[in-house]
Amino acid sequence: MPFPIFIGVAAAALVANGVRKVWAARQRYQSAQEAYATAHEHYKGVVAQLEKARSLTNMRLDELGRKRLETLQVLGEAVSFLKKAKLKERNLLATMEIPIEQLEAWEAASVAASEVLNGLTKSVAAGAATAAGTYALVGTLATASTGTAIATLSGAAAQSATLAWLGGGAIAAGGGGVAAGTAVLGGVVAAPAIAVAAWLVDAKVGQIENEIETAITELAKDETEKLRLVDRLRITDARIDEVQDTTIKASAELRRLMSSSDPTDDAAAHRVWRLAAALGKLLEASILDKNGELT
Amino acid sequence: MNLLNQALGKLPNANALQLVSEFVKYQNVLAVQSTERERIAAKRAIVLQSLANEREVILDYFAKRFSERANSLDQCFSLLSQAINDKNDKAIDASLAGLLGIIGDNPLSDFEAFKRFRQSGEILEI
Repeated sequence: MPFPIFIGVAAAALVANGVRKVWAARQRYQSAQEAYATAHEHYKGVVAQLEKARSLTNMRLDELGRKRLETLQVLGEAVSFLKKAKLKERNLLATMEIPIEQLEAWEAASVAASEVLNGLTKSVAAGAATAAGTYALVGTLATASTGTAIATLSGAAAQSATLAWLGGGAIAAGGGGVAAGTAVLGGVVAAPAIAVAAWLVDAKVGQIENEIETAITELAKDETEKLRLVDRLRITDARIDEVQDTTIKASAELRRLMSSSDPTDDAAAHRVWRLAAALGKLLEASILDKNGELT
Repeated sequence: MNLLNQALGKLPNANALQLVSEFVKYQNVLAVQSTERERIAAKRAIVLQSLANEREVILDYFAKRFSERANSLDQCFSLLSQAINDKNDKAIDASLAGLLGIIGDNPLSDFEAFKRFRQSGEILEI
């Protein structure tokens, strides 16, 4: 009887090993799922970070638009100052190289800005005049990022679905198969089949683990792309702050100059004009081009 | 149950040799999977580290660039302020030209050159 006993022990060992492998595979599958869930949580955090950065940039652009409207009012004050200087009557416009059209444009813009700031005009149209381009471009940037996210997420969703299908199916089939196979077939004949089934389950879980590794890599890559967008928005913020601070300071200097100058003094009037002209150019400084690139 | 049927299909006669053959195949599959998994993880680590380094360099570059520009703008405003007090027209023009020059200069303008130098490993002469 030793031979049948040996066969029986070997068969039992195969079955035990198979059960152990299926159990271990189940643990590995769960670990892989947890790793993916952790990676996905992290990814969601980065998506939120991007949204927050985008929102902050929009707020900054909004504030810059408001400051520019206020600055247009200062340019209006400069026009009033220069009118008091009666440059036209004294034929000094040509001498000082002051284009009358520029003064008229500032005056009109100043009135429009005052109306917007005082709520006399629907701010949508006029307010947009100062920052329309930049708003739209940040939107483009965000749309691009959302596009990436959607693409990736749908990939991840598809991956999850695949994994769920593969994992659930494999584990259920493996686990159920071992139990059912043992009950139905029993004995020596079933043992090798149970062992091979366990190996198939193990190999299938290995395949799932690899797919999850790949999915985690894709998430990490997309995270990095999103963080790059966050960086770009931060750089854009710095540029907005730079333009805004310069505009505010130049505006304050123009006001200070006007308050200490006599309009009838030709040199003083010319200084006001030069500073106002510089301020006008600062107002034209763009932040982003039509492609959303910093300018 | 599917896997058990599949396994039974592989072992129609519960042949011991067939069992050994299946075991060898299984071990090979495990080895290939394990290597592939390690390759994916290692490649990910390298790519992410490289991207993290790149981000750090970019942010550092721009922090310094904007800081330099802010210092230059401060100097221009100091000059402008003094020039207004002194009614110094030349200094007013110079300070305004400086301000407009800095604001008109794209902060990204030198970045491509910086990246090229960095990638080539050359040392920038200051």
